[in-house]
Amino acid sequence: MLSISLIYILIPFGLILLLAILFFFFNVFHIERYAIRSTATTTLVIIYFLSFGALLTLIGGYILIVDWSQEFEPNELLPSFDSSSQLD
Amino acid sequence: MIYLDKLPNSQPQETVQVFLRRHWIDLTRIFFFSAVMLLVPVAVYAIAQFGGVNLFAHPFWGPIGALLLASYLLIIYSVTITEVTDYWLDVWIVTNERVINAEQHGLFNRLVSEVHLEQIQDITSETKGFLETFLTYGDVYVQTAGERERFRFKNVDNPDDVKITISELVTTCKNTHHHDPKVIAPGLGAPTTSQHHPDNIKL
Repeated sequence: MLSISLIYILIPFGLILLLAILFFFFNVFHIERYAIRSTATTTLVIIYFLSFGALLTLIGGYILIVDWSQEFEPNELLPSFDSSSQLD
Repeated sequence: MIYLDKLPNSQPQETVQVFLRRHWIDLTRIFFFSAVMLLVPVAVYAIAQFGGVNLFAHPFWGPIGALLLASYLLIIYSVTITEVTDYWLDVWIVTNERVINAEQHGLFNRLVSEVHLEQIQDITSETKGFLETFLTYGDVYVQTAGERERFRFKNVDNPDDVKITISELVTTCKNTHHHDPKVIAPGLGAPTTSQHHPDNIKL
């Protein structure tokens, strides 16, 4: 019978992660390119890196503890209906 | 990065007199919106727990829910830093020679324009609404001669003071240049700062 592997759901998530990384570097690039040089600007870039690093660490930490090779039968995932409970 | 003491196309005696960003309340709005968005999954989880459902306990739906939550967090984070970058890159600089307007609209749209103080004909400050009045922020409009659109300093702190300062600088600049025979009027002869096309300014 057809089984569904958990690993496949990592693919769309990987695309979202890639977009988030691109957005992050676009933002840092814009700050580096166009912002007025000041201590506040440098602090802002450091905060960007620290916060994004913390978020990635949090997400990566979760991904590492899950066994993504697990496979499931579709009938395990859907709610089952007991035919004996139907009205007579 | 841009150095305030070394602006692009600057004149030898040019110094920065006013440097403006949007009021901090705009930054607060961004973080407030993000905080509310972050509370949504917390609220969903709390409601599910209250109903006796553990969303992350199932061996299949648990990881999917966690990845959905991670995606949601990444999207909220991206939107937040993009808004903060937008805030940070919206600046208005007034020197003793010109007004520079630099605005970022999203990640791929940036507008930079400048006008020489001599070209300024009218300056208007506007504070409307309870919060603006209470926190003393608002807009300043700088109208120039000719067909060029007017500059709008959006949500700047103390717009009345900014207006007065720019008016004084305009008066000083006009008096100085009026008595200086070496300065050629804009539009005549050699190019002055005022004739730089906005597209040529590398801010």
